[in-house]
Amino acid sequence: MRCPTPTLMEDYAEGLLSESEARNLENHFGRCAVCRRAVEDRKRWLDAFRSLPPLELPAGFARRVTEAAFPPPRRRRRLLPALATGLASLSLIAMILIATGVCSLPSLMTGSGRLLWRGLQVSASLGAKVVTLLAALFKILAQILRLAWEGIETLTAAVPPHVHVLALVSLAVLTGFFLFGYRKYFVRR
Amino acid sequence: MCEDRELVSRTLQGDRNAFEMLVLRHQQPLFNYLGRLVGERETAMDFTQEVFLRAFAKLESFRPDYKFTTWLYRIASNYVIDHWRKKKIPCLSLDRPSGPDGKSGRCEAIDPSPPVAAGLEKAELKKRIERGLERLTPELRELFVLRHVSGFSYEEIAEIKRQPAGTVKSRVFQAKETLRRMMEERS
Repeated sequence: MRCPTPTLMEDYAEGLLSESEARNLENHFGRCAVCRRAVEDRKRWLDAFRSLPPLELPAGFARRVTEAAFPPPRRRRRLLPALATGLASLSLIAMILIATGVCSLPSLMTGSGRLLWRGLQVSASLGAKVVTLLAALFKILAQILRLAWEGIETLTAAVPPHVHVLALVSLAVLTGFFLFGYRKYFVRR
Repeated sequence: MCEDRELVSRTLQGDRNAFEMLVLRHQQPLFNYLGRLVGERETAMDFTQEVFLRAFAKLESFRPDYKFTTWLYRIASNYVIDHWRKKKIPCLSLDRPSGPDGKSGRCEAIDPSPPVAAGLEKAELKKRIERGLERLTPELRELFVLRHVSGFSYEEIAEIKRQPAGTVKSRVFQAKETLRRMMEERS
């Protein structure tokens, strides 16, 4: 028998050959020391390939994947039920107060009306203060913008018109880069 | 112990425990496979999670007459190939010949190489293989990992890659020969 091809030797080393094919090769290996050493070397490589250490996964990985696949149901809005419960509780308290004679219905209505009116007054005053503050901030911003505009006017008066055009073109290019991205043209990934 | 098919059908009915069992069963081999392909632990972990989520999203298309593992690894393989394409790592088709001269990488001559593995310690061999794997082309690395790390048969790999078993076998052989050659060059 001629010396077997490397693929045949590899098949033998992997145990893919039939019994008779394997026996034929073994007979040859008994006579040919070169092939015997080569097939032993192939077997050693295969053992080494198979014994590469496994990479360890962190604990709880499967749980994490499952949670990502089955996200918890979104919490339903509870504002309306809470509001309804609050109103119902208030009505109940009012009924108890009236039934036990602590206060009468007209006095209860007057009292709650006053409370509501006071609340409205406080909210209106707070709103007015917020508006005043916003107006003051707006005035400051307008002053800053006016100063900036005057500065630009002074600067542009001092430079010739073609520099204006150059500055405007540069500004347009920079804006284009900023909006459409320049990395894909200049930065190699 | 439940079969994969049963776990799949329970998952489709909304049983999250069944899905968790599927993940537990396949996570380690899949992570090993992806880890050996991408070479970075964190990336491999993200990829493993993403592959399971893709499998979950496509679970209705799984046909029970197929093997779940083959189906899952096909998703994983496509995901990794997409990643390589995005990163512009050149990917050859298995249909194309691999050699620069257009010939396939088949090697049928008598093996003249001296036995290298015999002269090396096991730990050293493993280290060299790990380093060599990183230098293999992505396609050869993937086929090698499927065969010799994940332990799939050539027929299963052919099913995963949708390629003839003969082509797969000759490419795995080529991967091993390339690895061996690298080891020999280093020693």
